[in-house]
Amino acid sequence: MMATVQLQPAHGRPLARGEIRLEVDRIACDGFGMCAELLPEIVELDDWGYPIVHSLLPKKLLPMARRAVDVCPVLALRIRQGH
Amino acid sequence: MSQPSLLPRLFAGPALRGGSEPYAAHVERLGRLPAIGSGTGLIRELDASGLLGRGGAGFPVGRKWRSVAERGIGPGAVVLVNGAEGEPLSHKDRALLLLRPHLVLDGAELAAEAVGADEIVLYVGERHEAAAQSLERAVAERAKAEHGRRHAGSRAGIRLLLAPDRYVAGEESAAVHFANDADARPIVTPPRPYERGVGGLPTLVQNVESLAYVALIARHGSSWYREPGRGETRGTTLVTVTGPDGRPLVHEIELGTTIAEIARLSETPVLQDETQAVLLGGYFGRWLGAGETWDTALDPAAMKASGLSIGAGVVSFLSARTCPVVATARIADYMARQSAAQCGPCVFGLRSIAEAMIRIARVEARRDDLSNLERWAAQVRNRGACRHPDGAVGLLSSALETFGSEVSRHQRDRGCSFVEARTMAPVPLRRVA
Repeated sequence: MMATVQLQPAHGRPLARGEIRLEVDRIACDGFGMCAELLPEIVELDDWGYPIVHSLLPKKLLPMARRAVDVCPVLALRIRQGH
Repeated sequence: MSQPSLLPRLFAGPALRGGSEPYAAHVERLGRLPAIGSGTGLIRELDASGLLGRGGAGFPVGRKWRSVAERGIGPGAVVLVNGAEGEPLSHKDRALLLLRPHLVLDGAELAAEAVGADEIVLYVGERHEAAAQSLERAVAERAKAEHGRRHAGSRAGIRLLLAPDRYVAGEESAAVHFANDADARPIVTPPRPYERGVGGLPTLVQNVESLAYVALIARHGSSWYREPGRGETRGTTLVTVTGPDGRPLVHEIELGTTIAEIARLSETPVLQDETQAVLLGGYFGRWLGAGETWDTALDPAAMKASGLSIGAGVVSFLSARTCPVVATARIADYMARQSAAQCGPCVFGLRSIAEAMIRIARVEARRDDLSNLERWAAQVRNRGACRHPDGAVGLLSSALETFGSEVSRHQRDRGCSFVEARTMAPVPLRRVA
């Protein structure tokens, strides 16, 4: 079964030049929810408190996203930029 | 089937009740492995054959081999032979390992030669004891018979690992994780196994059936492989067919064979009017109403166009007397328990979904259970490190579509149209607090 691993969708689509994405390591994430507090524009929490990143990161939110990456207690976030 | 003379292929040779074909008989029947020279010739032949991976995802085998063979400069690679077969409705991998282990080992050696691998890891489900023993015996037979004049691929070292008995153990990254750290849980990708796998080396993870077909294609060529087949996807495949009595049978069929024909394959043919639905593709698959799907051809390309898949070759018939809501709840419960418990949405999402589904099955539903199910299915999708949650909610969504009226009968009218609640999953329904 499921012999072929697909990338996490958050990692899935190659990013076009200039696109920025906040990615969640699903295994590391423990649902602290700080990302949703800092970035309510692109992150909401599911019924169990785990983040759903519903859109790409607008450039103006980049500083806040960097903060989210730094304060995530389990270091489950990263920012990926298209080149 | 329409061209019976073309089949069987993997199961050609001595009577199947005789058990494993010995190495001497295998070589007598098929000859030694052909030398493949540089690996790219065989890979081109695999491309031409159109052979798709038989682990469930259906990725083209030639392309997969090329991604490992054409890795950047660097020493070594590994071939991981995947016979974990964690899908409860699939039995074909263990049947193949039991009956024709040398086809699988031929394919593994060819793969090792083609991609330049130094090691072959045989990964067999720990519950499939007879299959693992057959494979182990086969490895010993070859070592004894081939001393001094081994096929190039057989220079690779071989080790046998027993995959833990859990659904996700056969997932590619989980298999690699187990070979590296004795932990059969999926890991976050990338890097994918073909980039960095067993021992940090590029690793080809290939299902046992795919490798067995490679052993035949290397001997007879891609046009031979493509002779059978009625539609776009050519060739043959193994399927596990489970009748309403719950007894699984493994068959080798021509691609393009219809569900109706498969229903007639067993000793006691499955009748359409005694069948309510068909589960295609196993616990990662979809429920389809018997009427709408009876003429469906098992042709991966055509099925893909309508959003269907046979997964690892699973066709399971649900009796018209069995409550489909109960059957689905059992599967949902199983899938929740089989979560590797790593990713929050999978752990909590599948548990919540299973509990709601069990309440509905027991006609004890809360008012918002059904609407929650639909929301949770959407929330969970695409949010695991592996595809376990996606597979589970895909099946659930198909149940809500196919059995909508029975689901609402349970939910709204607190009734069930079925007297007999027959089991599909090997787990008892659990009382939910």
